[in-house]
Amino acid sequence: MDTNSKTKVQTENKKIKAKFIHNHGQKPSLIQITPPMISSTLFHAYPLLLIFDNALANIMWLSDDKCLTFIYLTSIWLTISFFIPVETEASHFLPFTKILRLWLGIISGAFLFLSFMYYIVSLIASLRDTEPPTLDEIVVLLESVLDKLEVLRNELNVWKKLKLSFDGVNKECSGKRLFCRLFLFGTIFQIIIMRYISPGTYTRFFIITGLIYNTSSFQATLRLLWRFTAVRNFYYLGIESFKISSFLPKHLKMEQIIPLSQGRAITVPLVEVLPKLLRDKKGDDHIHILQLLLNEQKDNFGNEDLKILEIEVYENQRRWYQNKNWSTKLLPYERQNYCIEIKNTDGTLTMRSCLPPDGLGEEELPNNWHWINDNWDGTDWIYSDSAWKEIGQYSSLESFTRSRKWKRRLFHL
Amino acid sequence: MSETSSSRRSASKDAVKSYFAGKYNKVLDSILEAEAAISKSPTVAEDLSGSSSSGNSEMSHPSLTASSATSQGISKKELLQQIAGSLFSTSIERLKTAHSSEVSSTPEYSVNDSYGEQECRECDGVFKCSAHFEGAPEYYDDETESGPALEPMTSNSEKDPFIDVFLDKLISRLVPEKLPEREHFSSKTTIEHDLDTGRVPVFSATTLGSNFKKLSKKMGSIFELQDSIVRLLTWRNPTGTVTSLILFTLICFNPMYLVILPIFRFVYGIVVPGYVRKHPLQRSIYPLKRNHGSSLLYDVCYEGKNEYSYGQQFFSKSFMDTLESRNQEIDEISELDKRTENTGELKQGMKVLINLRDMQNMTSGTLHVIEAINSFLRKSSSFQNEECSTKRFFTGFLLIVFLKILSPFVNWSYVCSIFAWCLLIYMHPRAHPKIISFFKTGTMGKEYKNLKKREHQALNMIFDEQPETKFIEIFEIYKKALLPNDWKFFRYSNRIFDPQDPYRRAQQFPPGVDSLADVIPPTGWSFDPNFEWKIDNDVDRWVVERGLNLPITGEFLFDPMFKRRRLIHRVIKNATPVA
Repeated sequence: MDTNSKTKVQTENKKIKAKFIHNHGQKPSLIQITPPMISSTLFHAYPLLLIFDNALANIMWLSDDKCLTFIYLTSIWLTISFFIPVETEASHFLPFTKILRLWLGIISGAFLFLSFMYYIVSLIASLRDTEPPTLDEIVVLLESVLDKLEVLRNELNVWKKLKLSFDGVNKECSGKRLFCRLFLFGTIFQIIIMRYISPGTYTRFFIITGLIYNTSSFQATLRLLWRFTAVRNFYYLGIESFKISSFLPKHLKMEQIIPLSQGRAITVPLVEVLPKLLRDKKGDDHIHILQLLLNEQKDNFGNEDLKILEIEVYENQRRWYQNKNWSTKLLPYERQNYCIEIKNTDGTLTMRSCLPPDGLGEEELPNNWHWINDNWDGTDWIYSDSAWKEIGQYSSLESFTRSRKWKRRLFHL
Repeated sequence: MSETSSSRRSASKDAVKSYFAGKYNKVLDSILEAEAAISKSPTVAEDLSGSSSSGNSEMSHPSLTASSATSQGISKKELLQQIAGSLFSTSIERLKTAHSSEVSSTPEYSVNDSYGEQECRECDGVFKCSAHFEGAPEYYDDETESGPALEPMTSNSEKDPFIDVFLDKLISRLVPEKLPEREHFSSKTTIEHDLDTGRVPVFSATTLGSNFKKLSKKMGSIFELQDSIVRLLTWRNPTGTVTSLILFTLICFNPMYLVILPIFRFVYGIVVPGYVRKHPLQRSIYPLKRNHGSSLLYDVCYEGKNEYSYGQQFFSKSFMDTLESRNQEIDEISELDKRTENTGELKQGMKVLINLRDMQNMTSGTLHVIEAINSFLRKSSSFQNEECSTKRFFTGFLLIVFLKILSPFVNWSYVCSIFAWCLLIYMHPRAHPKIISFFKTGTMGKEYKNLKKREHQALNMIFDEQPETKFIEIFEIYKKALLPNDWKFFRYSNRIFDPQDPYRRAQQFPPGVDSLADVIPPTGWSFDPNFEWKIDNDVDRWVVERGLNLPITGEFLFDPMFKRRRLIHRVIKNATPVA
């Protein structure tokens, strides 16, 4: 009896660990299915592919010997300095410095050229000495090149990142608008920079930045800097100041919301609907009068319409750390704690901040508008990622924002 | 007067010595017994008590062998009581002998000596200590670390092996309890003061040993650093060498890099990789199996061609964030967890050994360096070789003047960086012989010229300083013969041999020779050949200078047994004194 229970416990406790999926496993041989024409072309392109792959690896600093890449970088810097002299303060060593710099520039240029030539020569020599590559090897090399290009594209695609970030405010942001803003701000920013930095330094800076942009360190630096709200605020400064909403009052009130969301109102025949709406209402004087009016003059209302409007207030929250509580504090450039979706004139939707539902409920309604529901109906939370892209109904490690809707209807007589 | 005091001191020294020998033999014996008891015997208690009552160290050995024959379990408490008991008995033994022989000249030794005894001070006397006999483990615990009194002994014994503690105590008794700070080592007056105030660290063998143990484990990184520096200097890692040269040049031109580079290293060598490990950059790049082509820099700088593989340089470690490697990593870790720690221990032991070897090499290397520096300093400063030392002085002097004048015109950035580059290129294993042969061919023809130059240079200097001269004295001693006024030559001595002379009091002959030809000058001096031995006629003067109150007749100084006169000679200091 005892032993049985023990084994049972053991089997219950025994758990199995799942493994990651292998993306690069053994693949079926390609020789039979590849036409000889393609094979021969690939074979001839093999050295070029190798050179290209190595160049990409150098750009991405994938070599284990980072020192070698650093030496190449220094040589490139010195070669650039040969063409674009560095501005230094006058000193009595100026001629010597100049000569040294010129000499270093020539030397490093020659070194770079010779290194490249040597690499190509040694590559061809080693290809001649070793057995020719199999088709699979060439395909693997192609894949490697493609992988690298894919990574480069992902890292260089600033546009996508920008658009993603804009989604936090505007659900659909037109590319044209984004481009205009970028162009305008970029130009102003560059003009300011150019006033203080010489073109030589500027060029050098951009070339070197371009050479180290794809290193994992640089990418990690960008990501780490992106963690600071100050950096994000600086980044979104332009958008903030050019938003129309920044000239308007900060939180919208009912009297502003109703005209702004008029477009959504539905029109229904009054006689049919109003009795239903008033059936359960009691207490308020104006509703009492309405009920009396309805009872007495049912026929007079025959052709009149009733406007019904549903107001949806979004409640948004953000989680600032993983595994921490949800906070009502949101980033300054994104949708705020309570907001309402409003259609722009060009058809796009914008989130505009408004008062919380309780505040809106207590406000006095504009003329002839009446609440249909007594309370705000809340939906469940919908969880989304940092850029407000929906994930699902459950909070997960991926979700950093969440929102739910508060609905309440009005009618206009 | 001085004779008596010295004799008394030597006598007391001997007594202390013998006392120490006897005492530590006993303590050691008892410790050995206790050790044996720990390892083997359950019935050692009786033997111990027997041996302690007899107090005979020879007796304890048979008991030890007898006890080792039996092999049964013994409770730890009993065992500890036995150990404490043996210690206690030895301390009583020691006290007994101390009382009987009455060696009272070293009271500080007789009071606090072994374990039991030191604790006995607390209960103010030896005889109350019988109460402590039962609670022996407690006070042993107290002794080794000042924790709670009733703490179990087992943990303690694991921490400090018994023999370590014993050695520690032994040393702490042998050396003064409080050692002076190094800075006070030269000035003796402050030592006493520091000893009184008691803020001087105590020397402890246990601490030293454990520190060495810990150091040998932790020194690994330091040795790795040292090794990497050596690798950089010897071009075994050519790209690293060139990179460090570039960085050195940067520092030369802007010393702010001295601060920037370590911070950079910290941020991008430790922090960012940590970030990348935790939040991978989603760069799944497939590694290649084969790589072709090689780098110019490698082939130029490496000693043997194609010693390395370019392919291995690329694409081996940079794919740690691919899924396969992560799978493997996890598997390895889990396997490591499962495995017994044998291999880990072995590895650790090997590491410690390697570290110890490196430490030994480092210490011997340091000694070599210190010796070399010392010998250079001695040679250059002692004027043994007058010409060489003078030349050194002259070049040194000229260098001081020249460099001082030159210094405002030097651009240090250029000098330092160019010097570093030249030095490392000079040190390159392949370039080094070529450079040397290049410079040698240039100097071949000059050799003859150099020789002539040297001959010429020899006449550049003249060493004609007046040598130092002094006078030496020797006493010509006569002994009284049988007849009055009949004196017989006794010997030439460097002592006056007056009645107060220690040799005379000891009724021994004074050191001396029979002939003046056997008299030699002090080391480093030689007799003036133009000067004969001269009798000092001014007897009064040297007699008065020595404070002797004896009759003088002519050139002689008399006493009842001997008369003597002083002979003087002129000596000249040698040009090259013996070091």
